Amino acid sequence: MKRRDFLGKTVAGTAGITIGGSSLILSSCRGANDRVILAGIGPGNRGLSTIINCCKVSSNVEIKTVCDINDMRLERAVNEIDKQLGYKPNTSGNMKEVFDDKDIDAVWVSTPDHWHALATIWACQAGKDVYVEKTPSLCIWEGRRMIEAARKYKCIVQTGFQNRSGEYNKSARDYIQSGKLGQVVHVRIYNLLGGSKWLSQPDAEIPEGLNWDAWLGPAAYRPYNPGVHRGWGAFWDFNVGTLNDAGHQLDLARMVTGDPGHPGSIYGWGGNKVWESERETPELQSITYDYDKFTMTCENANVMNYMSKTHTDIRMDTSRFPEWKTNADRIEIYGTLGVMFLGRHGGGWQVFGKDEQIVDQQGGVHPDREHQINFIECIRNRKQPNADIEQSHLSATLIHMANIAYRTGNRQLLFDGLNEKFIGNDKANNLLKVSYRDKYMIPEKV
Amino acid sequence: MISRNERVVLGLIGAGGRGTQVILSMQKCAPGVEVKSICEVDHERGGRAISELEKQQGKKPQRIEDMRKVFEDKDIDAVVIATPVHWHALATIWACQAGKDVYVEKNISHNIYEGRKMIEAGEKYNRIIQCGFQNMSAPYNMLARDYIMSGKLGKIALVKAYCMLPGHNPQRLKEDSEVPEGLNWDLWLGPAPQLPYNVSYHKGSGDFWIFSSGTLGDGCHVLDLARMVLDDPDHPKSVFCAGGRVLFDDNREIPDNQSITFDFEDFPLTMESSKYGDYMSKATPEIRYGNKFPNWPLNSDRMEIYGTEGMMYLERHGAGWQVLGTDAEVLAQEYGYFPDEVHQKDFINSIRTRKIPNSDIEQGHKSATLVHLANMSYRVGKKQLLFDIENERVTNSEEANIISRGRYRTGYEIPEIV
Repeated sequence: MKRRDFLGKTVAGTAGITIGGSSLILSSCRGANDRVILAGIGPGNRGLSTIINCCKVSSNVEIKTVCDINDMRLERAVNEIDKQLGYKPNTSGNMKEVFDDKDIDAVWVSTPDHWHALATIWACQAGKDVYVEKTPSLCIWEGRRMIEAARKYKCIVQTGFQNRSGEYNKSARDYIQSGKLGQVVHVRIYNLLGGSKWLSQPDAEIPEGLNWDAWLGPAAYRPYNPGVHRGWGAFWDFNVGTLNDAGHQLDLARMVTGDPGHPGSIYGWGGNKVWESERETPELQSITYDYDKFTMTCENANVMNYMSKTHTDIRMDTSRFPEWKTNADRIEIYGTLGVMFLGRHGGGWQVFGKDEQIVDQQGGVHPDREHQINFIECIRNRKQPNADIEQSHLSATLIHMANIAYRTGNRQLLFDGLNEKFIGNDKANNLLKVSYRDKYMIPEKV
Repeated sequence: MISRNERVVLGLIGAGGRGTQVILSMQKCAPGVEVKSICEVDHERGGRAISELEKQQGKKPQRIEDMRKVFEDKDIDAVVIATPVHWHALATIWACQAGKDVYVEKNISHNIYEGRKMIEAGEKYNRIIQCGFQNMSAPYNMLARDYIMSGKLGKIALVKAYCMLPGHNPQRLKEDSEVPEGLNWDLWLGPAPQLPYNVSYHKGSGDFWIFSSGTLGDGCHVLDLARMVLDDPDHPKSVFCAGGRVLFDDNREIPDNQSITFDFEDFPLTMESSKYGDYMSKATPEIRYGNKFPNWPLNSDRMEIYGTEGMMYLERHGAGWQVLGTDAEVLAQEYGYFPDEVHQKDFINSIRTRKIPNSDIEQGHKSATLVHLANMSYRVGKKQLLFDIENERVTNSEEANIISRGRYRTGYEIPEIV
């Protein structure tokens, strides 16, 4: 693929423009409008649409390279960017080439989950800022390494927990933190999605144009299987299961309750009892997090086809609220003075008080746009992004804990938050860290 | 066997608000029912039951202080037990031993051991034991069970039960004081430890473990109803209960919020039991007795049963049920009516026909066990408890098994052999 005068349009972004007369500008600090050069790593449906949108909502942001281990996806990405942004980016089949490219300021990591941490750490080591899709990590151990890498190399690491940038979510947080809801006693998270039985498929020839070994990356080698390639959410090697989506609500619930630290105790039930699928990740999970001051529960499933996520027309309309009763991914926050129903794709929030009165409410829109703007702003001003990796790691840990509770027999686990280890449970501690293939080791010291 | 129209003679044991309500209604729920005795350890109570019954049946019941006198009375066929919870099992067992049938209010037992002994007493003395889980007699609940059993809700994936009651007052433990005149404090304590009189215990017994099951003492109705419509599953294999106290830093022992999960192997049953938020409300009288559904998300005593085909809201005070599909479309529904009277009728009918009552002790015990397991999990430090279903013993906490066995004052022991 030719670069097609891309560099001609690019002004190297490292010189910096003095803001507000400050004389102390870090070399990596840019002016508010300096060009930001991005690369997309693993652009599928979600990753491609968000990186393109990011270029639209902030000025002077361009995609230099798209990187994928699947030629078909690369071609689609190039064409889509050409169509929407009017230029063709370079292509690469090896993310290390992207990290070696001095032009590139930041990478957009939207690979399957098992690649998230390693790609983020490699990017930080190369001095790139990172936007990494949820779930940011595959296990608790690597989440902590991501924080260390971000801090050590002074890189911005914004995760795809976009709710952190939603104005209505910030007002929900302010409402709760002001004490108007009273003391928070109980937080109830729903992620009751639809789905169907997962069926295994036989191994097959590796499709042309796919670098299967690179797709597997850090995960143990296994022969090509279309059910794995297209259904990686079913396997622990690649994904956190159906909780992947619930991570948004878990993160938003943590945000509006003032970002509590790790819970000391958690109970998780899980099972494949409904569809009786032969997948590793459970179809249904029912989880309780015991925070010191309140309890948080999460009902998570892919078996309820009648539940719906907030409808797309409501997502961009601040004057309407979802039908909460069958809203698949709402959060309910029970205080001593009122209960708040909070949506997560937009949908806003409503507080109910005595006699079913609506005490207060605020509409909301889907926060993707604000979240993308925030990332670019942080690349330029070096401030901590809204969904910084540190809080995102704490949110992702809730997912990992619940999965470990399921994988150790639907058990309660006690957690030492300071050391990020389970207390008195070797079986659970063995699942703190996944194993990596030799070429793809995440180092103890990043 | 008493024939359909033969007189049934009842005694009431514990004439508080609920006991009085039940006995007055039971006396007139079927022909030929007479109340002979009102037993109360507190002379301040029971007056209304006696005077109202005199009007209703044209015959004044006698006042009795010690329930053993009621059990000795050969005229009495059956007793209604509406004492504080710590007396329920012993009174039931004594009644069975004396050949009386029993209607025992919820929560029917104070621990798991007691419930098992109640079953044994019922079997050994061939007695009817109807638990005060009146939802078992409600036609709308039977229809809900039929709907679920027919498969229309699809495969059951998740059940969420609630007993989120409006807030309450602080419990400030008062000083011990003189026993009020007319109260037999020793009999009031009964099986409980010998304690000096304290008005906080006497009037606030629900706040202390030695006398009660906490807020789950109310939540057991919802748990029992959930078990019923799910076709009476056996005990769960584990329980986990988190929670605590938020509203008042006072002297109560019981938590004001509990988040519980029961592992029923094929699905989890969760329970939110609490008493802190005035924005939650129980069904109003017009919902209980009329054709109206509550605002479900703010209803205190509902459950949500998630199948693969729809979600059923079901309430326990007569609010009925609705099955919701996509975008909350109502796929099926049934109004309900508060089921006290049908339940009392069912009891009288069982006394006469010897049929197993709708809320027989066997299933009532399993529902009550959910309450005990949850409280035990909380009391041993919010620890998951693994349950040996067959032997009704916790396998990973001796502390829990000690709670589960109970301790009894001399003279008030629950016997191993009933």
